[in-house]
Amino acid sequence: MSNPAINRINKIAPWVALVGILYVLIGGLFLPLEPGIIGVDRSILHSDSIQKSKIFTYKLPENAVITNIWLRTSIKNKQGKFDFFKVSVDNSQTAGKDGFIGINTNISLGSSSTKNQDLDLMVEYNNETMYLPKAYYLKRSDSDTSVNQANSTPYTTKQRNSQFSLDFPNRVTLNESIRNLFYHVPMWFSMILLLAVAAIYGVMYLTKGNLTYEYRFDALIKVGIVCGILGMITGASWARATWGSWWPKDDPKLNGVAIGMLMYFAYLVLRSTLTDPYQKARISAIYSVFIFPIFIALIAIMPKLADNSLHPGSGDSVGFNQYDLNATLRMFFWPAVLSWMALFWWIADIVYRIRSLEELKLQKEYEENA
Amino acid sequence: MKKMPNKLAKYIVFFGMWCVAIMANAQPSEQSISQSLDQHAAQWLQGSYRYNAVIAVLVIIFLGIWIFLFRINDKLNRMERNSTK
Repeated sequence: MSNPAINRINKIAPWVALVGILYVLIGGLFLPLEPGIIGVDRSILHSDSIQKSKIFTYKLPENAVITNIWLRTSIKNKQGKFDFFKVSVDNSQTAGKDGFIGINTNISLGSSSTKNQDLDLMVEYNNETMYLPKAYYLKRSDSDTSVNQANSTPYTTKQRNSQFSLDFPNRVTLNESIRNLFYHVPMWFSMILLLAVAAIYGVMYLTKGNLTYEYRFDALIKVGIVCGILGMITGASWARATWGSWWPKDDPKLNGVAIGMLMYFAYLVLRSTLTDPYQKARISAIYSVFIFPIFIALIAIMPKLADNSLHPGSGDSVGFNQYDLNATLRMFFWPAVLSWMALFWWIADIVYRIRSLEELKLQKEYEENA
Repeated sequence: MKKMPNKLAKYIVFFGMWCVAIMANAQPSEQSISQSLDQHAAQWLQGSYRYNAVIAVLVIIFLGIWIFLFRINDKLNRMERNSTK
């Protein structure tokens, strides 16, 4: 029954968990967030007139020199490109002590085909670019005569992400809560790992009939359920901070998780109703093998097929890997995934060994009485 | 060999204390969780030393859990050795 590869994993898992989680806990909470734009003081900009606005920033250094500010249309023009407009800075090219930048906008659209639409804001300072999507709504004037589009364009997000810097990206709505990525996502990755291995042990029990496999998959599923509960707690607090609700009702991933978790709670109820150990092992093995693919379909496939979702990588939203992760986040995210997986794997192994010893003790008592 | 876990626990506690000492001496980090928490919690956390203290408490809690699990692990090793005798 004892597999040398699994024994080796069990031996190194505690140390991977210790070093990895300390690294993620300390580094992940200590590294600063890069400067970003929190918001602006007005929502509408009219073309063909000079308009003042304030940009509120977060963590922008006091002496940062603002080199360029652009407004970018959110809809591509007939040539398939975005229109850029330069903005002039109001307060001597440096950010104020309280982190705001005063600007004057003068957008002229002339006879171009640009329509009323959202404008993205890009602020370039010390060779870095801050970005706020849909910062303003552009209303074009009928009396526009000339076009004053910018000749140069700022760094793209891709260029920015390829530069290495020891700070976390300042994403809109996520802000400081982006650090939860090292806790929330690894919980689900760990749960999927444990449940997948549990399903494999379920198949092994059904083919070989050895009760040791049943102890294994039962321990893995129970610890997997704990991972799921922790994933829901970290997710609910993240949702409250970013989406304004503990549990947004129309998100397909959350609905899938709710059903999936209920299926695994049903596993616990099912086991508690059975008394014969072999019957209990056989029925729970079959149950665990069948609900795992359904669970994956509910949390990974169905949300992807949905029309829209708040979660990255589901519905019409882009996967988080494509636009949210930068080099610094990856430095912590993947070690976090590995170390949380190691911790829960280790806990599952401890639960399995306790159960094995209990069963061994019962067997010895039975033999002595007989 | 039997005393190894206690020794290890001591090393780990020292390592934790070292981490805490580093944090306590860290320069004000101006860390905050401003936009994501309610205003009172954000204001409370604005002070860098409070933020450092929160991280220190989290590190201590994790080390506590890890040592607890390690001791169970070690106890299980001994019980498994005895059961096979």
